[in-house]
Amino acid sequence: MSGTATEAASPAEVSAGRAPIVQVKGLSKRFKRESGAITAAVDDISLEVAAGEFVVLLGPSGCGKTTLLRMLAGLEVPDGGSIAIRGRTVYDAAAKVSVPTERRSISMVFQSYALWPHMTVAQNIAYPLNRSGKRLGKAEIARQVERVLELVRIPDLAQQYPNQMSGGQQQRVALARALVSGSDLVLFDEPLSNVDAQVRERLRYELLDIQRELGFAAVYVTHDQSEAMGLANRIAVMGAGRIRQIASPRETYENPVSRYVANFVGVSNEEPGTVVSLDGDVATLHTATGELQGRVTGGAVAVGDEATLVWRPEHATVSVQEPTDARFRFPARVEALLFEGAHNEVVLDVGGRRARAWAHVTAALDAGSTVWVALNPAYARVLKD
Amino acid sequence: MTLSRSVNDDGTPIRRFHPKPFLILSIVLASLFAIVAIYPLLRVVLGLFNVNGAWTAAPILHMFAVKGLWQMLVNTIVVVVVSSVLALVVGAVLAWLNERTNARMGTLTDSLPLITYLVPPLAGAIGWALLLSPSAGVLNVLLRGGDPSGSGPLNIFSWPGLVFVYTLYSVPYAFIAVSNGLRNTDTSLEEQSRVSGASLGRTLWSVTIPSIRPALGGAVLLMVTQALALYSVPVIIGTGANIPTLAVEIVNLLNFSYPPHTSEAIGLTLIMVVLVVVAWVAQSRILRSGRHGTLGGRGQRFEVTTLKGWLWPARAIFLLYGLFAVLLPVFALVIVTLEGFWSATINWSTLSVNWFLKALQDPTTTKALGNSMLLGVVGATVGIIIAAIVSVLVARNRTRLTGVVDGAIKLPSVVSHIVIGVGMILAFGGPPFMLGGTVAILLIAYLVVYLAQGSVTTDAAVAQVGNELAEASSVAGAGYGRTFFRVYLPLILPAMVAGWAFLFARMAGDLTVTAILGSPSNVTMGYLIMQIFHNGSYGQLAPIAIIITVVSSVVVIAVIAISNTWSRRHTRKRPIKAGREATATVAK
Ligand SMILES: Nc1ncnc2c1ncn2[C@@H]1O[C@H](COP(=O)(O)OP(=O)(O)OP(=O)(O)O)[C@@H](O)[C@H]1O
Ligand SMILES: [Mg+2]
Repeated sequence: MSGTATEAASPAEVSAGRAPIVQVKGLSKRFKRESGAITAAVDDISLEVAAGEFVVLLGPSGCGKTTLLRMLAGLEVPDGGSIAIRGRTVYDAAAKVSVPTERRSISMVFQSYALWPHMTVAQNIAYPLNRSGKRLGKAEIARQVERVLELVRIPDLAQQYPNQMSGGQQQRVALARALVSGSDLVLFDEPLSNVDAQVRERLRYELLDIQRELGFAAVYVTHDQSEAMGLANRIAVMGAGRIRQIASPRETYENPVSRYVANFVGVSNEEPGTVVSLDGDVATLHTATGELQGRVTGGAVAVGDEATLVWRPEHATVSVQEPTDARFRFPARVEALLFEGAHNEVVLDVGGRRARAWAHVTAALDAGSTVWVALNPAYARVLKD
Repeated sequence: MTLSRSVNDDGTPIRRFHPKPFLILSIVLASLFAIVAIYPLLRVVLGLFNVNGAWTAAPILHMFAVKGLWQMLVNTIVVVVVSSVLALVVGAVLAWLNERTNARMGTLTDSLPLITYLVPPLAGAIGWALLLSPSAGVLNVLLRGGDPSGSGPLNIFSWPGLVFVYTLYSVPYAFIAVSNGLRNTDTSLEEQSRVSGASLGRTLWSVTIPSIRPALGGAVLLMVTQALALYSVPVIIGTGANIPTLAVEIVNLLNFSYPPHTSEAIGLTLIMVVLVVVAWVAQSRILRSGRHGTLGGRGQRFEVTTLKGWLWPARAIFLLYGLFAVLLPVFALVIVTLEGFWSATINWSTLSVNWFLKALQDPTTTKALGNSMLLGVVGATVGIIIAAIVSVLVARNRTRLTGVVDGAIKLPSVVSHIVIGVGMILAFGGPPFMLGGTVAILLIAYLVVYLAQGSVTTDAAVAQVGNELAEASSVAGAGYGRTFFRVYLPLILPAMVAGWAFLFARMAGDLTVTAILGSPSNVTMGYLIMQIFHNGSYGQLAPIAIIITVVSSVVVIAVIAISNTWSRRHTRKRPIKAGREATATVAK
């Protein structure tokens, strides 16, 4: 990496290599609502982001993603905890340290682009190059602007004004502005939520390419789970101001630690029940539809505990005949059949609860008929909460 | 780099101070100005109970001893209330016609509020005296069929005349406030009402008016405080009609009696303060009760009502207003100026600009014009810069201190200007400042009185810029100063130019503050007019009124034209904000 980041870091830390770029400990932020009630927008969050890592903050609206990101940037002052960037404390409630945004050497892409309308694209992008105390020559600035414009694939828009461009192009300019200073930490707040679906897909792949090429660490906020899956090295699933699980996309999807995470990442079906036996991390549950089995991935359970068996639509086998060779099976009524191209999605009524499963397109299923669902215990999960 | 030193070797953080020179400068400047704005008001309050260091009730007792006090009080209340109500009706009708119907005639009707910039009320009052004085009034002579002898049929020196002129110059306040209210109100409510079958009248009464109630409240407060402080109209028309009012009496006690009756004057300002507080309470009642319009994003499209047969009658209201507020009084002033004296008959063959040139060559006039221009240019420039600095400071730095400073700077705009003028004398006129009778005290007083009106424009412009553009600048490594100069300043510059023009016209043509603080040593156009009015003739008054009208018109129109051309050439630089962001900014 070149530019500010390397200059700002002391040699010892650069050679240490694995020092986290961002280190957040016990961070909290409370807001007072107009009604006078206090909400904890961010509630005791700890988080580390390694150099070059792509971390996505995923969660429903209002769970505190933006607040957390803005505190990293220094745009919001936390109420407690500490933040270190590149090993240096930029915020510490106890020690009363708060380094202002402009001295944190970070970059950020805003949801609304936040391009300066009175500056050309080139001027917008050159702006971060004149960080105080740093004087680059005109030619050097022009060279850097050109380089980054090529990187985001809009080389001939340099002299345009922002409102003479499409939303997708504006987003590229915003990205270019964030990348030009060569910072090793870039924050993104739902950068793709204002462009249409196709452009969003394209930009997502390009962003990933650029990130892998330049190697900056990214903290990326979204509430779109497919975006999170596609971009992240690790996903931090947030709920009500806390991180509920932080792990790779695959781990989050396959081994969610709670029903909240399972429901938020992908589609999941639930069968509540009581643990009747336990063999290592495999639990057998007594449920309304019979005995079901799955692996425990959340908090530990004991025999007699209430727990929930969670399964994904693609992990069930739906058939008209009773599959006598499958140990964990139950009958269900077909409520609707949705053709999805590669498969049929079957909306099921399982003893009064709704469930979704995938079925082969050739399976002869009719709405209203009774079918059999077989679950593979290797893919089902038993979650305590 | 400095950052690497924010952690000690053992990893413990050390406190670091990050100096932001421009931020500190802004805070100091704003705080200083807030003190200058508040201190005179405190002195007025103090002056009510404390004379020369001794506690006393003398000012209040003196006040009650003022001859004809109750008559003056009743007169003032009647003229202010009646003219404000009339102006509210006229201004609201004009605003509604312009915003919501096809009676709008582009720039012609949009620029209606400019009239207050261009024709100062004092020129209007003199013009109307020339038009409708009972015997020699130009218009009266015409109405009598050219008969120079006799009197009537109309008389401006009367109760209706006084209320009429007050109303003329209060209308723009109502027009501006109601226009803004209508622009910020969601028309879908009105459309909903029309769709569900309500007539236009019922929609207006039950939907439109309730939804702009805050705007109406604001207009009333503004009109009442302005009308209370208005000096030019009551001194010219009211004196002629033998209707004494508070504003005139306060100035007389201070400036036209020897020795000055300061203590009675302070006592009378107390009444003004009480009246303003009453208006304030009334306004906050209006604000609190019931629903009002929701703020929507900008760039909304409004449904326009087509007026068919009523179109030209509606437009006639605009034209009549222009005729009464500008054309007729200016015509009278021009005629009298060219004739050199005021006579009942116009002798077209002897009209000549000589009288005008003679007035211009008079050394006192030159000096007054010079001072007024100086005060206008310096005051407007300093004022709009302070307004911009404070607007950005308050938007970017929401602390208790900046909140208090902002409030302190805005307070004088809702206090009668007469009160501030009296406070200025108490605060800065004597030792240690000894600014009495100087141009400097006028400059300070103008800034205190008019700055808040300038900051209305800069506040709105800063709110339109929003937070994210500034946050993006901080993220890009720019400190407060660089963000101010590179992001805010270019974006709010057009608003600053408009605000500058407004401040210039106000300061160069001021009569109210000048009436209290003016003296032969700091003579301005306003002071000159006051002196001629008391000692001279209408023939001498007219050219001065014309000069002040022409000069402020030329400057204001030139500045606005230049700024419009400039921003037309740079239209592509307009903010690109979508409505969503605008609402987001408001929500924050
Ligand atoms: N300035 C503020 N004042 C009061 N409450 C706030 C403020 N900013 C955020 N909140 C509250 O804090 C909580 C977290 O807000 P935040 O903007 O971080 O959510 P988010 O996860 O980014 O949501 P979204 O996906 O909708 O952007 C919300 O309940 C919000 O109402
Ligand atoms: Mg958000």
